[in-house]
Amino acid sequence: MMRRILVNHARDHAAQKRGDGIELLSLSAAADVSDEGFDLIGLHESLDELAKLDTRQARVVELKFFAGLELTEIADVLDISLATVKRDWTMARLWLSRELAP
Amino acid sequence: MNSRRDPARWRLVQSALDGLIDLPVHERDAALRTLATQDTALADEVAELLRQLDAPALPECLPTVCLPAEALGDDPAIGTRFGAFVVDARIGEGGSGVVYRAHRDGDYAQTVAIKRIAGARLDLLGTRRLQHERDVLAQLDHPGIVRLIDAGVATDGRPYLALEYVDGLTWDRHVVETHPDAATRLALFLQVCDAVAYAHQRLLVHRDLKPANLMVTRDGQAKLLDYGIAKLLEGDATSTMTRDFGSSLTPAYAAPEQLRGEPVTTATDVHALGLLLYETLCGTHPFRRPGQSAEALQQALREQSAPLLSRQPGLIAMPKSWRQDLERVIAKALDKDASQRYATAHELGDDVRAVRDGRPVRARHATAAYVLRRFIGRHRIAVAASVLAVAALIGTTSWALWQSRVAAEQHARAERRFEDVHHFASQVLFGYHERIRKLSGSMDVQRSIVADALRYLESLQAEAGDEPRLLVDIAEAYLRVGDIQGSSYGPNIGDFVGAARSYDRVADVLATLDHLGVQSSQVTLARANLRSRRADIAHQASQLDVARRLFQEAIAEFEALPEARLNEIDVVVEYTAVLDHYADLLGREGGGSLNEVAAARDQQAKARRIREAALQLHPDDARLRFGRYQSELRDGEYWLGQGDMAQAEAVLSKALATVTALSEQSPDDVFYRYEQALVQSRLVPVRDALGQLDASIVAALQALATTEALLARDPEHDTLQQAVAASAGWAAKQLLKAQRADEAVPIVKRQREIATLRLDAAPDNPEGVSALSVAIRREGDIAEAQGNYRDAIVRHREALALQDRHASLSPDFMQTRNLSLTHIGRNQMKLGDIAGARVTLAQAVGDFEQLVATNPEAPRYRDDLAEVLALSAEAWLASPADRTRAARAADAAFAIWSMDESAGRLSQPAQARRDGLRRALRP
Repeated sequence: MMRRILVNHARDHAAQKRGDGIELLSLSAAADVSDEGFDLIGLHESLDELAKLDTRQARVVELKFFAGLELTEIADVLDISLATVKRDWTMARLWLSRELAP
Repeated sequence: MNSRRDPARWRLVQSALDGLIDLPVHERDAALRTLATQDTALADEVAELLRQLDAPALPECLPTVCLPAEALGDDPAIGTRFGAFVVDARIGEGGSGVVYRAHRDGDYAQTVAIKRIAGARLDLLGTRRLQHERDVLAQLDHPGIVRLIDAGVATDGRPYLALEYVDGLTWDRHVVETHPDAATRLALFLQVCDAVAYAHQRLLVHRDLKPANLMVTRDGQAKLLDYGIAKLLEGDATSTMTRDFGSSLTPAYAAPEQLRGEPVTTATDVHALGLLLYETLCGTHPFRRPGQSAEALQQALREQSAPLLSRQPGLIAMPKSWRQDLERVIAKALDKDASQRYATAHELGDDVRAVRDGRPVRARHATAAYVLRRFIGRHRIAVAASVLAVAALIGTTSWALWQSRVAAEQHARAERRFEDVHHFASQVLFGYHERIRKLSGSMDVQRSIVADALRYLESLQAEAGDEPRLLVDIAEAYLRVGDIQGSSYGPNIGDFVGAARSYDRVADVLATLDHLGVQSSQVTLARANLRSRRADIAHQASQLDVARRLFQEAIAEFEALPEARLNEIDVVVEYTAVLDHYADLLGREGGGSLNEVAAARDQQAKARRIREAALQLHPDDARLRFGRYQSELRDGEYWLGQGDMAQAEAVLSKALATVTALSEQSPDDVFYRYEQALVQSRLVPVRDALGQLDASIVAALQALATTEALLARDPEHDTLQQAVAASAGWAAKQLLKAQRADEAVPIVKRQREIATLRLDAAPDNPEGVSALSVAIRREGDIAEAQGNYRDAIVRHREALALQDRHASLSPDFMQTRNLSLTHIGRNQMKLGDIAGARVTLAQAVGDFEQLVATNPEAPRYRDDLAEVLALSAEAWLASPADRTRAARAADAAFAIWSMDESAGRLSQPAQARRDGLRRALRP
């Protein structure tokens, strides 16, 4: 669910980037926020595919990526061992990387 | 590639990878080559994936704003610039990142805490959100909330918050180190409440309240941190976003709705505050256990109720009233249903203040309202409602007991199905009735139970809306309460007006059901029962025609029930009772034709047959056995009325045995003992008529002793008072007859005392008037026995005046009134006032003749007539000139006695009287 929102924003943001500027954030100091143009949309689609292969691995990636959880925390939430999370993350990352590779 | 589509394939690939990933590169290559010889495709795929290992296209986390978690360990911070602030020292690590002390670089001196938001938690959205939240949070200006001074993204692209610097300890450490007393802890807690309430007013929900997010300054001021993850209530509230800033991933302070991923509200914060209060008071989290898994903790949060404070060994010392009230407050704050908690931190704070100030807490009343309101809505609460009824049964108003049971029950039966609830509720309602029936507890307790029940029923009725099954339950409950209030067929608290009102309620509910088009045997039953109650009332008010019609209608409704229903014990009990009551009406009415008595007999016989049939199937059922007793009692009374004393004695002895057995089985059921006394007093005239005078006195004194004992337990009880008065009357009468008038004196005094009491309580009740008149009559009898004929006449005139009021209401009342004339006449004779006696007795004869003429089927009126004729004859005999008149009167008396003799019912006393008269007539 959270993923969808993020991706929507990314889509909007991508649309926005073509025209608008970037807002300043801070009162006391101006700072640029660089945007490296990471292929969030591609990730979104790949995650969907991964979910069809292994739901839990996709979930691990989601939690790590979009919720920003540490692996130990993911283990807690999903109620699996840390070793399992690590393996899931490793495997999923390989798979997704292959998909995202240019 | 197959592993894109096929889960099985992906698993296969993974197992191959497993073996290869951790190998050093050259070994890995070798293994790959080996694999290639077995399965080329697989090897290709594995190789492709392995190539990603060194430079994975998917980063560790989202770029730009992410830092590897490990990087936070290092500490380049001192001297680092964050916006306008320069870091002086690292203070520690908070939930969402490292915290530094910094000073403002510039003319305006200010110390702040810089909080770096840890890496992967800020996503691409974060920048805009940060600004948004900065705007909102900057508005928060409260001593209990750490002020946000600035927020931004540092030069290295990492976001930070500049917060008011707090010189103090975290909450837990503060409590442990300063060890405050209960009052201080409450005060501290109230500070937190106030702070949260302030934010709630601005529609800010904290969502992550916990001790780790609280600090206490050196001055003892509590400060809330981490409003940085607060969320505005307005606007989109997708709760999954909580995960973004979620530091509470061992969710010990999460509310059930948070765990379910539902939107959070101010009530979520209230829940957290409840946990905080609990922990602050006793040092333990209510649900967290050592060695517990996250899943178990989550389940506990969702489903378990918190252990009572009193069970926690670490509970800080406090007054008992505080503890009890605080338990209630906490329970309300921790309610699994958010809508049932305090709506805001402000309300929670209010109630905590109420505890401290000794005022009543809202939690108490809210819970009661909760109980009643939820009954219809969610069914779970039917259990609580029934517990309420149970509590009323116990007669305790101990809300803590009730409330803790509510909590326990409600959690235990959260998913109870409606049918179960319905059944359960009926059982409890019925059980409640049984309890009252047993006359347990004092009148005050019973009155308050009735009052409670009525209040409960009223609320229930208001909430029941259109739910037919509940409406029927309510109707039945009102019936039972009405019976307890004022049905003279059972124990009651003498509130006849209240009873009528309750029965009216039944009618209301039935009307609603009618309006809803509900037709069920249950409704028919309720209607029939209501009609029979109304018939009873009409009977008591001597509206005999109305009563008759209502009884007939009720019986018809019963008979219209399906056979299966008619065989149910409940229905049998009610139906046969109606038949009995109808029989009582028919038997009493007189009305002028023999059929009435016969009809009454028929009804009684029908009732008995039905009861016996049911007893075949359920021989031990107490209510059916009590029904049998009722049948036997009425049978005995019938024979008594018919003058067949031998039969009466036999049957009444059976009745006494039946009810005694019931009483012995249920020694606490006072009502059985009452009935015992009733039968004992019935036996008095029977034994008397059989010439067993002493035995009759024994029975009368037994009855008196039993009823006095019962009354002593419950002096205000009308039914028992009635019973004592009746027993006393019988005892006095028999003692007088046995020429033990002196023994009768105190008894009659008691009789009058009680009768007066009852009449004062219910001045217009004909039965009460009659009872008093009978007591006065006894006084007259004593006077007569002691030779004080003038006194006797005065008393009997007094009694007569009372009896005149209601004489026309029924033949029995008339008989009693006429008897007074008889007594007056007799005493006049003894006094020597022959002239007066003749007048009085002539009137008495006339009145009795009329009574007999209108009630030919009632032999006892004839007996009374015979007696007064005999007296009249004796009066006339006083002067020889009036011998003819005397003879005429005597003949009439003889005629009656002959009739009795041929019918085989000439009693001993009557025989003696006849012989005496004959002797008197001889020249």
